[in-house]
Amino acid sequence: MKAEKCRKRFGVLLATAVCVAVLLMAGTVSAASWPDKSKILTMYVASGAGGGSDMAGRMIASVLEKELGMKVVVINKGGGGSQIGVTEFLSKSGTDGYTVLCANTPVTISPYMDPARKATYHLGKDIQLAVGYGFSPCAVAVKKGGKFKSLKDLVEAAKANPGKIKGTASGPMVQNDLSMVLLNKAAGVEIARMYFDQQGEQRAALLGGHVDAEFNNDFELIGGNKSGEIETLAVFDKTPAVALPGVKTAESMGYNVHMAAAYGLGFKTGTPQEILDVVEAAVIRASKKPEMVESFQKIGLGVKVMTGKEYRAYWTGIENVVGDVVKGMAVKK
Amino acid sequence: MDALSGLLYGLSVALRPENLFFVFVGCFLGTLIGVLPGIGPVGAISILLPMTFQLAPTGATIMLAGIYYGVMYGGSTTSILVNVPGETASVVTCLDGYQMARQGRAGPALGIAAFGSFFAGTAGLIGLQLLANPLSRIALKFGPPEYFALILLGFSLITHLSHGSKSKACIMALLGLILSGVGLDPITSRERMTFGILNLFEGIGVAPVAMGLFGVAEVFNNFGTLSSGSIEKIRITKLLPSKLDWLQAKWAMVRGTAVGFFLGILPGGGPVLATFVAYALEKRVAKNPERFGKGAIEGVASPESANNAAASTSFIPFLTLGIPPNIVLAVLLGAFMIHGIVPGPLLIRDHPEIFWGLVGSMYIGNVVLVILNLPLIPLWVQVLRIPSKILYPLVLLFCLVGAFSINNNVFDITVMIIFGIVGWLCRRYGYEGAPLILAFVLGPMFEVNFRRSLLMSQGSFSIFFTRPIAFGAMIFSLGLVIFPIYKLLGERFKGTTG
Repeated sequence: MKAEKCRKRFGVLLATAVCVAVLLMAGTVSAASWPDKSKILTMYVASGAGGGSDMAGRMIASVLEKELGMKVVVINKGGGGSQIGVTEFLSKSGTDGYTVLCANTPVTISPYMDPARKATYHLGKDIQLAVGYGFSPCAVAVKKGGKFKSLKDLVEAAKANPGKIKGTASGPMVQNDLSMVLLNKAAGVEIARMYFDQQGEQRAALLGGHVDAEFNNDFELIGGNKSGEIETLAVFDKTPAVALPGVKTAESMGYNVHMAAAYGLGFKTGTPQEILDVVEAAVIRASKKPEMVESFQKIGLGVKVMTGKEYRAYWTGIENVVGDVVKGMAVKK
Repeated sequence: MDALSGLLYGLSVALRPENLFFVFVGCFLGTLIGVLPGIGPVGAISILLPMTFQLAPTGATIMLAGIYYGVMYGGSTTSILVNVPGETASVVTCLDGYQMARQGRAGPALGIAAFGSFFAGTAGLIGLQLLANPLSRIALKFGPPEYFALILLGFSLITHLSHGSKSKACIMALLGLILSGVGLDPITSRERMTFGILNLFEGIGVAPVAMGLFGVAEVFNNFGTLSSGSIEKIRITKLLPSKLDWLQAKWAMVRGTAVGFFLGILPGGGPVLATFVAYALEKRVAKNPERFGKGAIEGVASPESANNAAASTSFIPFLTLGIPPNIVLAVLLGAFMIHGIVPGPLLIRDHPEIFWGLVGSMYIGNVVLVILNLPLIPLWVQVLRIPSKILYPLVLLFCLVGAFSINNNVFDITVMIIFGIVGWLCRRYGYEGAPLILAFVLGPMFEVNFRRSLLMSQGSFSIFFTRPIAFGAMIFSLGLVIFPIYKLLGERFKGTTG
């Protein structure tokens, strides 16, 4: 009786040991053989369904599906300005490369640069960037046929009436808010920042004459620009935006302001560099094919590939901007 | 193209077999999503969006729009049958709809909800077809101060949402207001009442709170009676509304439609607010308001009409200005853009087949929804024949799945259960959930528009009294609060002298 029990226990132990060994081996082998096409790549989008980040994430998911030849499943986890999604990604993800994060700036940055948000993660320490794939510069628009014909008009008015000229953004610390902060700094003015968090509210406030300028991403302005309801005065990028033909850069008007939303992919720190390289190469390969560019154009998002290294450098630049704004806010408080 | 020939053209587009198919699919999915608690039109449309990439733009937009207004139809079903609001826009329908079901009148309640929806949806469409441009210009006149004043007006109606003590209603409303402040500050993004809990940063979700206070609380309530063994049998009397029902509901539908029609146009207003205002208005004009909350058919007819009228007219700023007045239409805007169509003043000229095809499809869709929903009523009513000890655990299960489906987050389930317990306790002591929900929905809009207004005026309160629409609404809501007090004092005075 006792002997039998012992034997059984031994059997269980042996089986467990074998399992552990297999798992360990699988762990070491995985980097070289990644991706295992029978597995599923889980992609975390740290925002709810719908909206720019989600659309971009789903687009790149279908690109990866084709290039890597494996199934990609998108998980939406919104809330806390990406903080909830990123936190969950880090708690659920292993370092085997089968869980990927949509790491976008500045939305992924703001939570951990702001000490009050108590985010437990940081780029580098917890997240490694593999590649950047999409780019949407910020721009500023006014009501067509209104008081302002150029960015200079707007800035002069803001200078003459401090605090009275009002600009919109979709929320504190998002890219269009940061573009307003940078413009204020570059031009030495104080355009009042008003937040309208629901899409459409910004435009309604602008067309109704309740605010003076709408700060938004280029793709949000295409429609109003085409129909002639609004006029985009300047785009905050080094080059003009494809989505907004005929609109010059703020830089060319003497205001050195650059701000955009950039979309990329990241893995948990500790994931073998080889895996990151495979993903980087896959995206670079796809970006040279017309399908990817065309499908991105549909949602008004420009394809702009940055290698992991380039994206990292770009990211650090935005971190500094966010850090400055956070400090400014802390002083004001 | 004038409105009539446009409509005929639109109907011809919508009646093409493939488009007719998409109308049907959209309406069917919408009804289904409306019936299931938790997942709402935003989530559903976003998930289905990638599937529409391969479709022709007309078919895709017709189908996605069908989901949106189909949800408004389906949302009332579970509100009436088991007190679980299928959508936030159907919370108010619980108040009288569920009471009607308990009295065995689920059939008439569902029938009136379906017909009211049809009537209101169609009326909204006529407005969309004929008055789209002038109405959208009016909507633009509403800036932050106007919204603030309008929401204040909404608050002044809060006590009409309960049939018990007015002071208890006010206490619940205050609680709702406090709860709505939880989360990151909308302007400075500092934490408020989050206690460091990450899941509270975005605030507490409306859907789990509503499902908890109504559905789960009802289940808990019934567990009590189940264990005591005294189960009341519901006798189902009729399947269709009687002549008296129609007479009572007639004007409620018209008034509900009018409220929904107007609030639907305003960006940020939308179907949810419309249902609360319509219900409160109905109670205010009623000859015997004490019937409300005890199964008054007007209490079903007016909010159900309001949310459908609002769903129709919310297309006005969307199609004429390219401004989505609520989140669902914001997602739909994305769908339009993907198909290379830009909603706005040029839509009707550049893509008449889309504009008129969509309008035409919505007329057809409203008919499809009635055809789809009326035969289902006898089937739904059968739900009430299920023994309570099987039905209520099932309802609880549905709520659990529904709450989880919103964000794939277990935290929403926790919130729902907590509010289920809160709702159950409140009910035992005569406090009602509806004022809490209204304050909870209005709270963030109230705050944000107040602060935006003061930003606009650089801190001066005069902004609320120097703009005509805001001033009018402020005076009106002030009157609504002062008049009953004056009347009460007058009566007291008479009482002492006479």
